[in-house]
Amino acid sequence: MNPGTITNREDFLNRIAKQLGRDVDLTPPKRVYKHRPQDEVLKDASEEELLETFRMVAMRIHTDVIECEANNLDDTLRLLIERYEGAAIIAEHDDRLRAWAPKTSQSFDWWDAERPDESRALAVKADIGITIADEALAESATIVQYAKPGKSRTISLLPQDHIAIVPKSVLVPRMTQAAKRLAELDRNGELASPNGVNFISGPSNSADIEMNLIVGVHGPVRVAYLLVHDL
Amino acid sequence: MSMGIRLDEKFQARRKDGIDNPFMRQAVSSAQNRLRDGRLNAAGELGDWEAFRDHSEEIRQHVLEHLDYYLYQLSENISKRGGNVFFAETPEEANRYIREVVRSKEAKHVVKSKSMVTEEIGLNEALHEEGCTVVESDLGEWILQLDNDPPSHIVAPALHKDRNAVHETFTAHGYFGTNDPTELGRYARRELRKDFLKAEVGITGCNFAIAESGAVGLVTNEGNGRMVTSLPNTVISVMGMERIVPSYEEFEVLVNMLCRSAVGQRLTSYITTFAGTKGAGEVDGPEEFHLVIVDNKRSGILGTQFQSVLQCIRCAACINVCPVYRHIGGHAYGSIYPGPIGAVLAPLLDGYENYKELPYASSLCGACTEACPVKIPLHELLIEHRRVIVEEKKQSPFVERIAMKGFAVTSSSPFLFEAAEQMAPFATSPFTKAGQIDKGLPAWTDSKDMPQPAKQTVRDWFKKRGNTQ
Repeated sequence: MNPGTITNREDFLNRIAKQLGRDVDLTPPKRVYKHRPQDEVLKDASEEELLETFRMVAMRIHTDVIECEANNLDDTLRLLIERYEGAAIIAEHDDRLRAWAPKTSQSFDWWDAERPDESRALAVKADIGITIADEALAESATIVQYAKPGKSRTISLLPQDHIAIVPKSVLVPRMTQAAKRLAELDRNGELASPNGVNFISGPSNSADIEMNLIVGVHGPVRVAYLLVHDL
Repeated sequence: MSMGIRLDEKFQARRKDGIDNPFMRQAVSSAQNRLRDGRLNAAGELGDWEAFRDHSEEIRQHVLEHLDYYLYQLSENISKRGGNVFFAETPEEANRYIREVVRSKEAKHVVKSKSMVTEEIGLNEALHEEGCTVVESDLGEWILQLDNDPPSHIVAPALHKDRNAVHETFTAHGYFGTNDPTELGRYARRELRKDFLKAEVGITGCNFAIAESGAVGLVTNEGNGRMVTSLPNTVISVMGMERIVPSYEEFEVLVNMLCRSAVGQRLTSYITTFAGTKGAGEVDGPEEFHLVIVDNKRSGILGTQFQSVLQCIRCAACINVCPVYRHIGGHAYGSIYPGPIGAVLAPLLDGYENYKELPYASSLCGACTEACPVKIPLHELLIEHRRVIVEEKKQSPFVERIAMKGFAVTSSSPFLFEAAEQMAPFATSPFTKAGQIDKGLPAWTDSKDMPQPAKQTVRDWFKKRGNTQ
């Protein structure tokens, strides 16, 4: 990848340093914090308690939670697609999902980065997008998706409905643990964190008209988490 | 839509407009109640809220003390990830650069997600001169754009409009539905979807940039931020220079505080980070990325007694508890940053000449300071503004200058003070109706009752009371 340009930096940083009463200092500062309350939240929660939190909060944010065993995934997906009455479906390219391609009569396509225009067009048209979560956060009923080669940032965004498959094993207490993992990828200047991360908590919504909750604005109107024990 | 940070008209006229608008006052107070209750619940659920505030404060202070380092690190990492970084001292520099990018792409359609800093620099007007359409895609911002109306709240920009006003606006745009908010929302979804798909350039703000990762983070609920950063081939993010955190770990802490403080959610529907250009094997994300870092007088606040205002994470918790905002609404502040944070920030970004009334538009009750998730001592900064205005700028509002001068002379002499006390009911009688002062003090009496001074002074009353016992 070609590095980008940086313009006007020196003057800008000089002005800041001058205001702070010193010269520009580019030695990495020591980060010594007196408080770290984020580690205490849900610290002692058992796996079952985390699952219960995830289910309860998902309900609060208008998100369906459906659970199944790995060997029932195809049937469960099929039933869910029927319930949502989706005619056109696009699913994330993922080897674990490939093995469970649902045998539905609907139009079913896989996201294919080798065919970018076609994939984008399918996502725009699709009624349902199916993805698989990289991580899940119990506290806020959030699924985490990394932007990675072959993956899409938009099949969880453009279709009317989004079904996120959540392997039980990816559940962590809260965003603290996910953030720590991401920070470690960049700690030594390696820039190994993904090009993008989406933390998704339920359907898109807005309260911009009279503070009334509108569920489904630009992103999905309905979201289901399909919790799999275990994929 | 906006003209930079400043709106038109004088403070007194805007303030009166606000007070005389019953829908706005009702809408503002019920929104304030909902947002405040939401914040308190979300804070309660988190456990040790005070420890989270302490931690958030120390993160923000650390960043400001080492801002040169973190901006250096951020720009290096964005560049390594294929993005271009432009440091802009002034709004003009920022707008010129963004116009050049838009021109080089021969873009006709630009789509934006919500950004206060682009309001601040008046980017939309600059882009109109470039001859392209600029569409605000946040639902509230879109409503305001169709109506050519400025925002009145930094989180809920169209708070001052009811569903009928929105219905009217949409109908003029070609809508044929009812005034049901969900139906109105679906219309916006259909219309704006076209804009997302045809835009050549997407423009976003930045809630927090992550220095160590070379990433920009957006906190949204509607999904427009994701659209704007995933679909157009060119993406430009604009950030105030202080909106930066060292790593994902600090990002997480502040995002949690922002979501809970702004809207009472544990996390909003979408927390999105994106770093530079899209990677190999990716379809979504920009081929070209630009980050514009704006100073616009922020550096002048560093190293002064007002430095802590740069800790702000734009959550609006202070606005949602402010009794003055409740009465006069957002437009009265005359700045795109209303409420206590606006009253502190606007004079610093745009000069005392235009905003010398704002530090006085406060009851100094301290509710703002208590609500602030990053512990900015807002009401103390307002007092400091007043001191600067009076002592250094000699610009205190005229009425107060005369009144205070009178008070200084009168109260320095027990005889004069007593005489004034006894004179008060008679001196004010020409302005009085049914025991309430209704003339001569409009700034006070328009919005609340000012009883006429009692005929008996406290000292007289105390003397007589003493005698009867």
